[in-house]
Amino acid sequence: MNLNGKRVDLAQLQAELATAGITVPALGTAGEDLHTYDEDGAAIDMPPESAAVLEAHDPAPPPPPVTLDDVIAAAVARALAERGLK
Amino acid sequence: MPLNPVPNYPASLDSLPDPTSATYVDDDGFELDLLLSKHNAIMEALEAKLGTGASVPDANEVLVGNGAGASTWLAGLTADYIAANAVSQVGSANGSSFGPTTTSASYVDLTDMSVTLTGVTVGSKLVAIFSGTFQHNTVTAGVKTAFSLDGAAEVGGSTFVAAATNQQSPLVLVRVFTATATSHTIKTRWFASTPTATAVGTDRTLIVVELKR
Repeated sequence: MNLNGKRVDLAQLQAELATAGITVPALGTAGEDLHTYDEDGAAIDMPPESAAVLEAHDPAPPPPPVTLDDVIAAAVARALAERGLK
Repeated sequence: MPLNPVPNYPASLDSLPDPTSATYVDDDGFELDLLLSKHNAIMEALEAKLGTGASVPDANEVLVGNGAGASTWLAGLTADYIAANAVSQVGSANGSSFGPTTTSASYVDLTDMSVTLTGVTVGSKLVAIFSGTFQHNTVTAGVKTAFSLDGAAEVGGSTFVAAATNQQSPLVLVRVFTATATSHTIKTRWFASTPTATAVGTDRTLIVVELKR
């Protein structure tokens, strides 16, 4: 199913699909393609009835971009916490 | 019985009669003209087998054909004398789809990462190498990658856990498989501990090298 440039929050979309009674094991994207998976884990087309759910999907804002400083600060904080330091 | 002047060679080997000091040139089975004719035919067949070209063998040299009906002694076999894929073969796949994502909590195919080798020698070694860059949008959530050979259970996994939102990290897989058939497909597969994992950009490559015995 083509996203046509639409941004999606996959976790949110999967919940919205479930609410609509459309059960998929998981979602994935590859470029503009939105897909689900067969029982072997191979990408397969979305069920046609999911198009309306995708159309109505209003994704939550994306998280702010992470910086290298964020990563370092988080790692330092975790290391300190593991040693009982502050 | 007169000697048969037609040799068995090259279809099969000959057994030539050995004359003694008491043998006459026209003895039955030792007729000199027939014996010479047979020798000539055998030598001509050997010449054709060895090919033309004057060269003398030296230590560790091998005789190779270097043209139609020609041969030479070669000090070292070069790639020119080895058929393509006779010793090794390489298959590879590069990421082409930009930034694939998944919410799957169990292994699924990683987009573009599948390599099939055919003409594989049973018993040879398949060296699989994968590298890619991954991202997870949730702190302490992980991305795991692994190889699957012909759809079998995943092996050789490698994991990264995000220490910050949308942290990126490279993952590398290396695994040696033993070929059990003449065709094998190796895939890189992945899953996310919680939604959503991303394979960053097109930064992923799968290489499979077959090393034949």
